[in-house]
Amino acid sequence: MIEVLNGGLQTTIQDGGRPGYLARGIPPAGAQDFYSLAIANLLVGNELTPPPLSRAAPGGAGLEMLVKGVSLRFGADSVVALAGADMPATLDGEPVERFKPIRISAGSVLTCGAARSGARGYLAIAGGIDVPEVLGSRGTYVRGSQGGLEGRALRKGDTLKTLAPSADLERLAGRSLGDLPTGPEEATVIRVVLGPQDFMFTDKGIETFLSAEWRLSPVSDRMGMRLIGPPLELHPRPDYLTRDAGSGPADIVDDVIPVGGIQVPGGIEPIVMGVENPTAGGYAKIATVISADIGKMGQIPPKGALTFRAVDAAEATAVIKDIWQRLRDAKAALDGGR
Amino acid sequence: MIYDEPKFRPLGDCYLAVEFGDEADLSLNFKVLALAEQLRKADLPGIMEIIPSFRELGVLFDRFETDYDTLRDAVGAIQKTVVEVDELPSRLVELPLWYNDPWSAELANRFDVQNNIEFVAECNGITVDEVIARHTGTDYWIVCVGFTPGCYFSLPLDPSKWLKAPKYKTPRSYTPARLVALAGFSTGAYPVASPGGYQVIGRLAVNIFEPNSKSSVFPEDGVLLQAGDRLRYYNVNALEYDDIWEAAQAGTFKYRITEETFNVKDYLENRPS
Repeated sequence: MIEVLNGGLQTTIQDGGRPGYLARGIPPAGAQDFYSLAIANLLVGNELTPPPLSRAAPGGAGLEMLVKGVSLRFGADSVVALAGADMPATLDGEPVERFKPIRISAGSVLTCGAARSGARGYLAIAGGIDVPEVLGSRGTYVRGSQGGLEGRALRKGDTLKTLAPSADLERLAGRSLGDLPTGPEEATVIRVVLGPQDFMFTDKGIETFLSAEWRLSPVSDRMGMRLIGPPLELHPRPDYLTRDAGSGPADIVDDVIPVGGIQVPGGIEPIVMGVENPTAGGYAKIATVISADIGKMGQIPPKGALTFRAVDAAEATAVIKDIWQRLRDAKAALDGGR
Repeated sequence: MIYDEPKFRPLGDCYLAVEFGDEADLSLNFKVLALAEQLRKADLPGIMEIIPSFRELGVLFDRFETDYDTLRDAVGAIQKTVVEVDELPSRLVELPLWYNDPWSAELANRFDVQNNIEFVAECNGITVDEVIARHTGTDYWIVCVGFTPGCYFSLPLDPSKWLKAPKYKTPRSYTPARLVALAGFSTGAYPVASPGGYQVIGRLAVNIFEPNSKSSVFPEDGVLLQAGDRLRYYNVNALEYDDIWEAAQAGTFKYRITEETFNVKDYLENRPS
């Protein structure tokens, strides 16, 4: 049993999420930065967190900590690992490092601080957190109060159970990432595939979108990340869209909003859709963040800077395939050595 | 605009979109749903989910099993076989609705606007009773389920029954669950408490999103409705509302849902304007 001494700002149980219910209005949820949770899981011998929107099993459930971390008291021996945002952590007052297994003795207290870089810290615990699966996932859909622990963020006094670790704790504690990258924490270039409504923007509008330095508005969450920057110029719309869609220059008749889709209501303050995205909506989307960079987006801190770079869908696919293959190769190597 | 040939577009690296047009015409939704039906039957490898929206079909695919180009060609070949849409499977779902209910009135108070159903009556130059008569006097076609769990967008099948009203100038931060609301061309309902901007006109006496429901009409995901359903609202008073809500909570309320086939061709040929 693990006792929550302090829940942090918004700490939720997450795994790879539950894609497949978008036509029901249910977003996938799961880790906003799958890669960071995946390497934390890798280090403690859990099943890997797959990239968002894939059919692979959702992997071990861990904690996603927004901006400020949790404090936990462990009732039993364990092995944990931290990844993602740099939240200085201590075990019974002694500093512990990210990206390495941390051996925990029964009764110990692990405390994660406020993020010095990045926005979301991830904590994996050997065996993975045991909460009931909802539609195939233990991930928390915060706005929909679904999954995780009672569909909500952790609070002081909550208790967490874990499943059985995949191997002896001493052996798990000897794992290392080797030459695997530790994650996207300093990333500020976000790759996008232009469209589906890029044609509604003028050449100048697209050029502004791809050249401007954007800042993340503090009014951002797992549903959407709002950006501050210059207005984006749109073409005039046909008259019938005023009747059918509304009077705003970026209003369209509702269509599918993908995870990573970038809506630009009124041509200002683009919103990048997160893993708790509304699944349909009526504003022009200038581009879609590639699935490999949705996690990078989730690591940009409030007021942090970013720029966009356009790639094609084939390149986007090649990037995520490479990342997923490296993760699975690393897991096979580590599991083989146990 | 209704396109001569649908447009295929990638949405990032995980979705394919097939867009039939950009305007709010029901004939586009019929094409979307007909293609959705064919794709379900074809069961193409790599497709994770088929996502109908008003005028565009989204296809979520697993990029570790297939790729955009392969899928575009396969979906394109199937789309070419869907020339004319004659009919579509469509359930008729009847929902009890308390029009001009106290929660809607209280919400208008709280956000300092006119009672919404009175406002809708004014916008259309009719009385509140006539608003109710119009709203219960046509079936509503669900073009899309989305936005939040179980939320839907629907249009009156009889356009002469359309109730026009603008959205709130400033969206509300809160709407109680089960309020039915309209704005622009669409009527919808808030399955759970959420922000919103549509004019609220009544409250459903039953849930349309109910995870872990005692009632077998709710599938595992708890979402009652789907694109292509037709909704027929019936007017209930305060007493009936309480009885139905109580029965629904106990799992004993009998939802009136009829599996039917909707004749699209007839409808489009004889559609009132």
